[in-house]
Amino acid sequence: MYAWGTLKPILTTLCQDIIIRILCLLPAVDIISIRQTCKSLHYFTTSKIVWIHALQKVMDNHSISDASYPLREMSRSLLERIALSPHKFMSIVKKRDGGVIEPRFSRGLPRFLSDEEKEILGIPSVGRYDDIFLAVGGRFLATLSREYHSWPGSTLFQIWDLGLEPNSTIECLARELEPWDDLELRLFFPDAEVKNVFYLVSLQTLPET
Amino acid sequence: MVILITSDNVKYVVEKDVAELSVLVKNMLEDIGPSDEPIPLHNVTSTVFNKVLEYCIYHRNDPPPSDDDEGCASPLHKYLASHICSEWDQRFFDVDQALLFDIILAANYLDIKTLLDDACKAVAHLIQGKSTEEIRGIFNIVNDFTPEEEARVKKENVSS
Repeated sequence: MYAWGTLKPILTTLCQDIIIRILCLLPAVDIISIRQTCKSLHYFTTSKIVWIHALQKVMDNHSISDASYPLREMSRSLLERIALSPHKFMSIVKKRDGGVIEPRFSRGLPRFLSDEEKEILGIPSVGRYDDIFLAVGGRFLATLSREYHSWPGSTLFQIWDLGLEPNSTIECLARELEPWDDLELRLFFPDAEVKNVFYLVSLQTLPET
Repeated sequence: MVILITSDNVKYVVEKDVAELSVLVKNMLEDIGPSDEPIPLHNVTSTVFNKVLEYCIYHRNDPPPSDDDEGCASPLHKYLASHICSEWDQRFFDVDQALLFDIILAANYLDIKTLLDDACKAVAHLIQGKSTEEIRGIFNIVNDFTPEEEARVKKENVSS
């Protein structure tokens, strides 16, 4: 099946299934190294299943909930970009050389409420964002806001889906007004099994009596 | 006992539970029913089969692998499964590449999932942390990109 003698066997003589199987075991950075060796291996690294496994490894290693990335529905290029993002981020940090890291993209959280939301919540505006908590994986964000003038004594919690692309539209998944003040966000994570279920823990500092 | 004959006509008498780690052999035994007829293994030479047999005897009492690749194993479990390889396995796979690739092909043909998985892990281990040039060297891969293609591939895949 391959040349004997002085020549060493060539990885590409293994059948396609086996090469894919091996690539599925590799971290994203190694897949990129393999991709640049030759044409046939380049071809195998463009298989979506390889990148599903690569991103799954990132998620396992960083305890990222399955809810963050719908692996089967994502395109290969998106899987690739997200699987490589921890590595790319670390290279940017290492190259920083004491300087400030400029944001690559920036998006603002929407601050307006529709008339219907104003009515349901009983407040005229979102208020001031006082605390944020980004769930591991970077897709879901919880915010806490207060407004001492127009609705004092309450705290507004909002859960946002930042989407998968740097320019995705930010979508508010839930809003809840709690009748307490002095709350802090302590923990926020999506349920691994059930879509659109989140756990949010906040802490209230009671005044000393 | 089961009689197996490799492609170079070497006869092996193997205990049934060991032989049945190969799904191919297991299915063949089920098809022919109770019989002393030897089972030919057309695609495996005795050199490679010695290794396969060594693995199967050592791992004969392991729990059977789950059918589901992803399963519901916890992240820790998956992490351990992919990172920890016993000392015995490490020594077992410390062979030249030609034999390692032959073991993979034999495991694939004989349908021994754990051996195939472990051998693929051994190959992945050779690749991990290596540069493109080092990988070419290890596996004797000929760079068949034109200079333009190579430049383009490099540009598209700046990983740092």
